[in-house]
Amino acid sequence: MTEIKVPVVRNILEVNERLARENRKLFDDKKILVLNLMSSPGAGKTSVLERTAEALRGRYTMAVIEGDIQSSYDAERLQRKGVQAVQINTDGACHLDGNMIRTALENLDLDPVDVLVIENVGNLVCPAEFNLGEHEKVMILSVAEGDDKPLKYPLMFQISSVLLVNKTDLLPYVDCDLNAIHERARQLNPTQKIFDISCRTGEGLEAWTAWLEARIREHKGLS
Amino acid sequence: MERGETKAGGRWLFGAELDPVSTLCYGRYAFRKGADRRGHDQPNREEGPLVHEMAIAQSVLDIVLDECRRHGIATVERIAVQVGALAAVVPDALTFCFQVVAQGTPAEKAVLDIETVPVVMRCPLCGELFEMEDRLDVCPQCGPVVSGLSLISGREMTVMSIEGRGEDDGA
Repeated sequence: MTEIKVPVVRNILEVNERLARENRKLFDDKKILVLNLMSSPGAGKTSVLERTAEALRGRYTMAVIEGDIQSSYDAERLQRKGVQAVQINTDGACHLDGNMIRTALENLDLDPVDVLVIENVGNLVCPAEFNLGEHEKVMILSVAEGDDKPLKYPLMFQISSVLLVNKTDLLPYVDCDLNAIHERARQLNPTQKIFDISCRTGEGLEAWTAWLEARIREHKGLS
Repeated sequence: MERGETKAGGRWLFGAELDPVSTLCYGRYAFRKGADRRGHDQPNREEGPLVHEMAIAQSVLDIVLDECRRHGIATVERIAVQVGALAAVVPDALTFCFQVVAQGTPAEKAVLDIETVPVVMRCPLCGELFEMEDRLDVCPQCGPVVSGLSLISGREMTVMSIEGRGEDDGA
Protein backbone atom coordinates (compact mmCIF):
# COMPACT_ATOMS: atom_id res chain seq x y z
CA MET A 1 0.00 0.00 0.00
CA THR A 2 1.75 3.18 -1.12
CA GLU A 3 0.34 6.42 0.11
CA ILE A 4 1.51 9.34 -1.93
CA LYS A 5 1.22 13.01 -1.09
CA VAL A 6 2.38 15.39 -3.77
CA PRO A 7 2.81 19.13 -3.24
CA VAL A 8 1.57 20.75 -6.43
CA VAL A 9 1.04 24.53 -6.18
CA ARG A 10 -0.23 25.13 -9.71
CA ASN A 11 -2.51 27.96 -10.83
CA ILE A 12 -5.86 26.43 -11.72
CA LEU A 13 -6.24 28.80 -14.67
CA GLU A 14 -2.70 28.11 -15.96
CA VAL A 15 -3.90 26.86 -19.35
CA ASN A 16 -6.07 29.93 -19.91
CA GLU A 17 -3.22 32.19 -18.79
CA ARG A 18 -0.87 30.53 -21.29
CA LEU A 19 -3.37 30.91 -24.14
CA ALA A 20 -3.94 34.55 -23.14
CA ARG A 21 -0.18 35.17 -23.32
CA GLU A 22 -0.06 33.59 -26.78
CA ASN A 23 -2.96 35.77 -27.96
CA ARG A 24 -1.24 38.80 -26.50
CA LYS A 25 1.96 38.06 -28.39
CA LEU A 26 0.02 37.85 -31.67
CA PHE A 27 -1.70 41.18 -30.93
CA ASP A 28 1.60 42.84 -30.07
CA ASP A 29 3.36 41.46 -33.16
CA LYS A 30 0.62 43.00 -35.31
CA LYS A 31 0.46 46.20 -33.19
CA ILE A 32 -3.26 45.76 -32.60
CA LEU A 33 -4.76 47.34 -29.48
CA VAL A 34 -7.20 44.87 -27.90
CA LEU A 35 -10.03 45.73 -25.51
CA ASN A 36 -12.04 43.24 -23.45
CA LEU A 37 -15.48 44.89 -23.18
CA MET A 38 -17.61 43.68 -20.28
CA SER A 39 -20.95 44.62 -18.72
CA SER A 40 -24.24 43.13 -17.63
CA PRO A 41 -26.74 42.26 -20.40
CA GLY A 42 -28.36 45.35 -21.87
CA ALA A 43 -25.89 47.95 -20.58
CA GLY A 44 -25.08 48.96 -24.15
CA LYS A 45 -21.95 47.10 -25.25
CA THR A 46 -23.01 46.76 -28.88
CA SER A 47 -24.37 50.33 -29.00
CA VAL A 48 -21.05 51.65 -27.69
CA LEU A 49 -19.28 49.68 -30.42
CA GLU A 50 -21.60 51.02 -33.13
CA ARG A 51 -20.96 54.58 -31.95
CA THR A 52 -17.22 53.97 -31.61
CA ALA A 53 -17.01 52.50 -35.12
CA GLU A 54 -18.72 55.61 -36.50
CA ALA A 55 -16.26 57.87 -34.68
CA LEU A 56 -13.18 55.96 -35.84
CA ARG A 57 -14.33 55.54 -39.45
CA GLY A 58 -11.80 56.65 -42.03
CA ARG A 59 -8.96 56.94 -39.51
CA TYR A 60 -8.67 53.65 -37.67
CA THR A 61 -9.93 50.17 -38.50
CA MET A 62 -11.89 48.35 -35.84
CA ALA A 63 -12.76 44.66 -35.74
CA VAL A 64 -14.98 42.89 -33.24
CA ILE A 65 -15.23 39.44 -31.69
CA GLU A 66 -18.78 39.07 -30.38
CA GLY A 67 -19.43 36.72 -27.48
CA ASP A 68 -23.02 35.67 -26.83
CA ILE A 69 -24.74 32.62 -25.43
CA GLN A 70 -26.84 32.39 -28.59
CA SER A 71 -27.46 34.17 -31.92
CA SER A 72 -25.32 36.16 -34.33
CA TYR A 73 -27.52 39.26 -33.97
CA ASP A 74 -24.80 41.47 -32.50
CA ALA A 75 -22.15 40.56 -35.08
CA GLU A 76 -24.67 41.39 -37.83
CA ARG A 77 -25.43 44.77 -36.22
CA LEU A 78 -21.74 45.63 -36.44
CA GLN A 79 -21.31 44.25 -39.95
CA ARG A 80 -24.01 46.68 -41.01
CA LYS A 81 -21.72 49.44 -39.73
CA GLY A 82 -18.95 48.09 -41.95
CA VAL A 83 -17.06 46.46 -39.08
CA GLN A 84 -15.36 43.11 -39.57
CA ALA A 85 -17.04 40.88 -36.98
CA VAL A 86 -16.93 37.24 -35.93
CA GLN A 87 -19.48 35.72 -33.57
CA ILE A 88 -18.78 33.24 -30.80
CA ASN A 89 -21.79 31.36 -29.40
CA THR A 90 -20.87 29.91 -26.04
CA ASP A 91 -24.07 27.81 -25.94
CA GLY A 92 -24.59 28.54 -22.27
CA ALA A 93 -21.12 29.29 -20.93
CA CYS A 94 -21.09 32.58 -19.03
CA HIS A 95 -17.75 33.97 -20.24
CA LEU A 96 -15.20 33.86 -23.06
CA ASP A 97 -11.82 32.17 -22.57
CA GLY A 98 -8.42 32.37 -24.21
CA ASN A 99 -9.00 29.35 -26.43
CA MET A 100 -12.27 30.68 -27.88
CA ILE A 101 -10.45 33.90 -28.80
CA ARG A 102 -7.62 31.99 -30.45
CA THR A 103 -10.12 30.13 -32.63
CA ALA A 104 -12.01 33.32 -33.45
CA LEU A 105 -8.78 35.01 -34.57
CA GLU A 106 -8.44 32.39 -37.32
CA ASN A 107 -11.66 33.80 -38.78
CA LEU A 108 -10.52 37.43 -38.90
CA ASP A 109 -8.23 39.28 -41.28
CA LEU A 110 -6.04 41.00 -38.71
CA ASP A 111 -3.65 42.81 -41.06
CA PRO A 112 -5.71 46.00 -41.54
CA VAL A 113 -6.93 46.10 -37.92
CA ASP A 114 -5.86 48.88 -35.54
CA VAL A 115 -8.17 48.06 -32.65
CA LEU A 116 -9.89 44.77 -31.87
CA VAL A 117 -12.74 44.77 -29.36
CA ILE A 118 -13.78 41.53 -27.73
CA GLU A 119 -17.38 41.93 -26.58
CA ASN A 120 -17.68 39.49 -23.70
CA VAL A 121 -20.84 37.65 -22.65
CA GLY A 122 -23.15 39.97 -20.68
CA ASN A 123 -22.23 39.24 -17.08
CA LEU A 124 -20.54 41.24 -14.31
CA VAL A 125 -19.06 38.20 -12.53
CA CYS A 126 -17.37 35.39 -14.44
CA PRO A 127 -15.60 37.27 -17.28
CA ALA A 128 -13.52 39.03 -14.61
CA GLU A 129 -11.58 35.81 -13.97
CA PHE A 130 -10.56 34.93 -17.54
CA ASN A 131 -7.83 36.90 -19.27
CA LEU A 132 -8.07 36.83 -23.05
CA GLY A 133 -4.77 38.53 -23.91
CA GLU A 134 -6.29 42.03 -23.99
CA HIS A 135 -4.43 45.25 -23.24
CA GLU A 136 -7.33 47.00 -21.51
CA LYS A 137 -10.40 45.77 -19.69
CA VAL A 138 -13.26 48.19 -20.34
CA MET A 139 -16.54 47.87 -18.46
CA ILE A 140 -19.89 49.55 -19.01
CA LEU A 141 -22.45 50.28 -16.32
CA SER A 142 -25.76 51.84 -17.36
CA VAL A 143 -27.38 54.23 -14.91
CA ALA A 144 -30.61 52.20 -14.99
CA GLU A 145 -28.76 49.35 -13.26
CA GLY A 146 -28.33 51.48 -10.13
CA ASP A 147 -25.49 53.13 -8.22
CA ASP A 148 -25.08 50.13 -5.88
CA LYS A 149 -23.37 47.99 -8.54
CA PRO A 150 -19.77 48.82 -7.52
CA LEU A 151 -20.64 47.48 -4.05
CA LYS A 152 -22.14 44.28 -5.43
CA TYR A 153 -19.65 43.45 -8.20
CA PRO A 154 -16.38 44.90 -6.84
CA LEU A 155 -14.00 42.59 -8.71
CA MET A 156 -15.20 43.81 -12.11
CA PHE A 157 -14.66 47.43 -11.04
CA GLN A 158 -11.24 46.63 -9.54
CA ILE A 159 -9.85 44.96 -12.65
CA SER A 160 -11.29 47.31 -15.32
CA SER A 161 -9.00 50.16 -16.35
CA VAL A 162 -11.89 52.06 -17.97
CA LEU A 163 -15.51 52.52 -16.82
CA LEU A 164 -18.12 53.83 -19.25
CA VAL A 165 -21.26 54.99 -17.42
CA ASN A 166 -23.87 54.72 -20.18
CA LYS A 167 -27.47 55.92 -20.67
CA THR A 168 -26.89 59.20 -18.81
CA ASP A 169 -29.90 60.55 -20.76
CA LEU A 170 -32.02 58.37 -18.44
CA LEU A 171 -30.79 60.05 -15.22
CA PRO A 172 -33.92 62.21 -14.79
CA TYR A 173 -36.08 59.07 -14.88
CA VAL A 174 -34.20 56.62 -12.67
CA ASP A 175 -33.14 56.60 -9.02
CA CYS A 176 -29.43 56.62 -9.61
CA ASP A 177 -26.82 58.95 -8.13
CA LEU A 178 -24.07 59.44 -10.72
CA ASN A 179 -21.69 60.84 -8.09
CA ALA A 180 -22.18 57.74 -5.96
CA ILE A 181 -21.12 55.56 -8.91
CA HIS A 182 -17.99 57.66 -9.35
CA GLU A 183 -17.11 57.67 -5.65
CA ARG A 184 -17.65 53.95 -5.17
CA ALA A 185 -15.75 53.05 -8.33
CA ARG A 186 -12.84 55.28 -7.32
CA GLN A 187 -12.69 53.74 -3.89
CA LEU A 188 -12.39 50.28 -5.48
CA ASN A 189 -10.05 51.36 -8.26
CA PRO A 190 -8.44 54.80 -7.81
CA THR A 191 -6.74 54.76 -11.23
CA GLN A 192 -9.83 53.81 -13.25
CA LYS A 193 -10.71 56.22 -16.07
CA ILE A 194 -14.42 57.07 -16.02
CA PHE A 195 -16.43 58.46 -18.95
CA ASP A 196 -20.12 59.38 -18.61
CA ILE A 197 -21.79 58.73 -21.96
CA SER A 198 -25.12 58.40 -23.71
CA CYS A 199 -25.13 56.30 -26.86
CA ARG A 200 -28.63 57.63 -27.50
CA THR A 201 -27.78 61.37 -27.52
CA GLY A 202 -24.06 61.05 -28.21
CA GLU A 203 -23.22 63.08 -25.10
CA GLY A 204 -19.79 62.33 -23.66
CA LEU A 205 -18.78 59.98 -26.48
CA GLU A 206 -16.13 62.37 -27.81
CA ALA A 207 -14.07 62.13 -24.63
CA TRP A 208 -14.19 58.32 -24.79
CA THR A 209 -13.24 58.08 -28.45
CA ALA A 210 -10.49 60.69 -27.97
CA TRP A 211 -9.03 58.53 -25.19
CA LEU A 212 -9.31 55.43 -27.39
CA GLU A 213 -7.64 57.11 -30.38
CA ALA A 214 -4.79 58.33 -28.18
CA ARG A 215 -4.41 54.81 -26.80
CA ILE A 216 -4.34 53.33 -30.33
CA ARG A 217 -1.61 55.81 -31.36
CA GLU A 218 0.36 55.09 -28.19
CA HIS A 219 0.12 51.36 -28.86
CA LYS A 220 1.40 51.81 -32.40
CA GLY A 221 4.29 53.84 -31.06
CA LEU A 222 3.08 56.99 -32.85
CA SER A 223 2.95 59.21 -29.82
CA MET B 1 -34.89 33.50 -43.52
CA GLU B 2 -31.55 32.36 -44.83
CA ARG B 3 -29.58 29.55 -43.31
CA GLY B 4 -26.09 28.34 -44.13
CA GLU B 5 -22.79 27.01 -42.93
CA THR B 6 -19.72 29.10 -42.21
CA LYS B 7 -16.20 27.93 -42.83
CA ALA B 8 -15.93 27.33 -39.10
CA GLY B 9 -18.88 24.96 -39.27
CA GLY B 10 -21.16 27.36 -37.41
CA ARG B 11 -24.70 28.26 -38.37
CA TRP B 12 -26.08 31.58 -39.37
CA LEU B 13 -29.53 33.02 -39.68
CA PHE B 14 -31.06 36.17 -41.23
CA GLY B 15 -29.10 38.75 -43.14
CA ALA B 16 -29.37 37.43 -46.69
CA GLU B 17 -27.97 40.76 -47.92
CA LEU B 18 -24.81 40.37 -45.86
CA ASP B 19 -21.89 38.04 -45.95
CA PRO B 20 -22.64 35.28 -43.49
CA VAL B 21 -21.18 36.02 -40.09
CA SER B 22 -18.65 33.43 -38.99
CA THR B 23 -20.18 31.84 -35.93
CA LEU B 24 -18.17 29.56 -33.70
CA CYS B 25 -20.30 27.39 -31.46
CA TYR B 26 -19.28 25.85 -28.18
CA GLY B 27 -21.11 22.94 -26.60
CA ARG B 28 -21.93 22.69 -22.95
CA TYR B 29 -19.13 20.23 -22.33
CA ALA B 30 -16.70 22.26 -24.36
CA PHE B 31 -14.14 22.02 -21.60
CA ARG B 32 -14.20 18.24 -21.39
CA LYS B 33 -11.15 16.63 -22.93
CA GLY B 34 -11.68 15.31 -26.43
CA ALA B 35 -14.86 17.27 -27.03
CA ASP B 36 -15.19 18.96 -30.39
CA ARG B 37 -15.12 22.59 -29.40
CA ARG B 38 -16.75 23.70 -32.60
CA GLY B 39 -19.42 21.09 -33.01
CA HIS B 40 -22.97 21.78 -32.00
CA ASP B 41 -23.94 18.14 -31.62
CA GLN B 42 -21.86 16.98 -28.73
CA PRO B 43 -22.75 14.09 -26.47
CA ASN B 44 -24.28 14.98 -23.11
CA ARG B 45 -24.63 18.61 -24.01
CA GLU B 46 -27.98 18.82 -22.25
CA GLU B 47 -26.43 17.74 -18.95
CA GLY B 48 -24.59 19.70 -16.34
CA PRO B 49 -24.78 23.15 -14.83
CA LEU B 50 -23.72 26.12 -16.91
CA VAL B 51 -21.54 28.06 -14.57
CA HIS B 52 -17.92 29.00 -14.97
CA GLU B 53 -17.09 26.74 -12.03
CA MET B 54 -17.44 23.95 -14.62
CA ALA B 55 -14.51 25.37 -16.56
CA ILE B 56 -12.53 25.79 -13.35
CA ALA B 57 -13.37 22.22 -12.22
CA GLN B 58 -12.14 20.89 -15.56
CA SER B 59 -8.89 22.85 -15.13
CA VAL B 60 -8.43 21.37 -11.64
CA LEU B 61 -8.99 17.88 -13.05
CA ASP B 62 -6.48 18.46 -15.88
CA ILE B 63 -3.82 19.44 -13.32
CA VAL B 64 -4.67 16.50 -11.03
CA LEU B 65 -4.51 13.91 -13.84
CA ASP B 66 -1.23 15.39 -15.07
CA GLU B 67 0.27 15.06 -11.57
CA CYS B 68 -1.08 11.48 -11.29
CA ARG B 69 0.84 10.51 -14.43
CA ARG B 70 4.02 12.17 -13.18
CA HIS B 71 3.93 10.61 -9.72
CA GLY B 72 2.34 7.23 -10.42
CA ILE B 73 -0.88 7.89 -8.52
CA ALA B 74 -3.65 5.39 -9.38
CA THR B 75 -6.41 6.66 -7.09
CA VAL B 76 -6.75 10.20 -5.82
CA GLU B 77 -8.18 10.57 -2.32
CA ARG B 78 -7.82 14.23 -1.49
CA ILE B 79 -7.11 17.40 -3.43
CA ALA B 80 -6.25 20.56 -1.53
CA VAL B 81 -7.27 23.75 -3.32
CA GLN B 82 -6.92 27.38 -2.28
CA VAL B 83 -9.45 29.90 -3.57
CA GLY B 84 -9.19 33.59 -2.77
CA ALA B 85 -12.23 35.29 -1.26
CA LEU B 86 -12.10 37.80 -4.12
CA ALA B 87 -12.11 35.10 -6.79
CA ALA B 88 -15.52 34.67 -8.41
CA VAL B 89 -15.81 31.04 -7.29
CA VAL B 90 -18.56 29.47 -5.20
CA PRO B 91 -17.02 26.49 -3.31
CA ASP B 92 -20.21 24.38 -3.37
CA ALA B 93 -20.58 24.90 -7.12
CA LEU B 94 -16.93 23.98 -7.68
CA THR B 95 -17.33 20.80 -5.61
CA PHE B 96 -20.44 19.80 -7.53
CA CYS B 97 -18.86 20.52 -10.91
CA PHE B 98 -15.73 18.58 -9.97
CA GLN B 99 -17.83 15.52 -9.14
CA VAL B 100 -19.39 15.76 -12.61
CA VAL B 101 -16.16 16.18 -14.60
CA ALA B 102 -14.15 13.64 -12.55
CA GLN B 103 -16.52 10.74 -13.24
CA GLY B 104 -14.65 7.79 -14.72
CA THR B 105 -11.22 9.18 -13.83
CA PRO B 106 -8.79 8.21 -11.02
CA ALA B 107 -10.06 11.30 -9.17
CA GLU B 108 -13.73 10.40 -9.18
CA LYS B 109 -13.83 9.60 -5.44
CA ALA B 110 -11.46 12.34 -4.36
CA VAL B 111 -12.46 14.86 -1.71
CA LEU B 112 -11.99 18.42 -2.90
CA ASP B 113 -10.73 20.32 0.13
CA ILE B 114 -11.30 24.01 -0.63
CA GLU B 115 -9.59 26.54 1.61
CA THR B 116 -10.79 30.13 1.27
CA VAL B 117 -7.90 32.61 1.40
CA PRO B 118 -8.87 35.92 3.04
CA VAL B 119 -8.43 39.23 1.28
CA VAL B 120 -5.36 40.92 2.78
CA MET B 121 -4.35 44.46 1.78
CA ARG B 122 -1.27 46.53 2.52
CA CYS B 123 -1.78 50.18 3.43
CA PRO B 124 0.63 52.43 1.47
CA LEU B 125 0.88 54.97 4.32
CA CYS B 126 1.70 52.86 7.38
CA GLY B 127 2.63 49.58 5.70
CA GLU B 128 0.12 47.71 7.85
CA LEU B 129 -1.38 44.49 6.52
CA PHE B 130 -5.09 44.27 7.23
CA GLU B 131 -7.80 41.77 6.41
CA MET B 132 -10.64 43.10 4.30
CA GLU B 133 -13.90 41.41 5.12
CA ASP B 134 -15.96 43.97 3.24
CA ARG B 135 -14.67 45.41 -0.04
CA LEU B 136 -14.97 48.93 1.33
CA ASP B 137 -13.08 48.28 4.59
CA VAL B 138 -10.34 50.84 5.29
CA CYS B 139 -6.94 50.71 7.01
CA PRO B 140 -7.52 50.44 10.79
CA GLN B 141 -4.66 52.92 11.39
CA CYS B 142 -5.07 55.48 8.61
CA GLY B 143 -8.72 55.24 7.56
CA PRO B 144 -9.65 55.66 3.88
CA VAL B 145 -6.63 55.87 1.60
CA VAL B 146 -7.05 57.47 -1.81
CA SER B 147 -4.69 55.26 -3.75
CA GLY B 148 -1.96 52.69 -3.50
CA LEU B 149 -3.61 49.92 -1.49
CA SER B 150 -2.00 46.71 -2.67
CA LEU B 151 -3.61 43.31 -2.69
CA ILE B 152 -1.47 40.77 -0.80
CA SER B 153 -3.86 37.82 -1.07
CA GLY B 154 -7.44 37.08 -2.07
CA ARG B 155 -7.46 36.25 -5.78
CA GLU B 156 -5.72 32.85 -5.61
CA MET B 157 -6.95 29.80 -7.49
CA THR B 158 -4.35 27.16 -6.78
CA VAL B 159 -4.10 23.37 -6.54
CA MET B 160 -1.89 22.99 -3.44
CA SER B 161 -1.45 19.23 -3.03
CA ILE B 162 -2.79 15.82 -4.02
CA GLU B 163 -3.01 12.69 -1.86
CA GLY B 164 -3.65 9.24 -3.26
CA ARG B 165 -2.49 5.67 -3.64
CA GLY B 166 0.17 4.29 -5.95
CA GLU B 167 -0.11 2.06 -8.97
CA ASP B 168 1.53 -0.92 -7.22
CA ASP B 169 -1.49 -1.47 -4.95
CA GLY B 170 -3.35 -3.60 -7.45
CA ALA B 171 -7.01 -3.20 -8.21
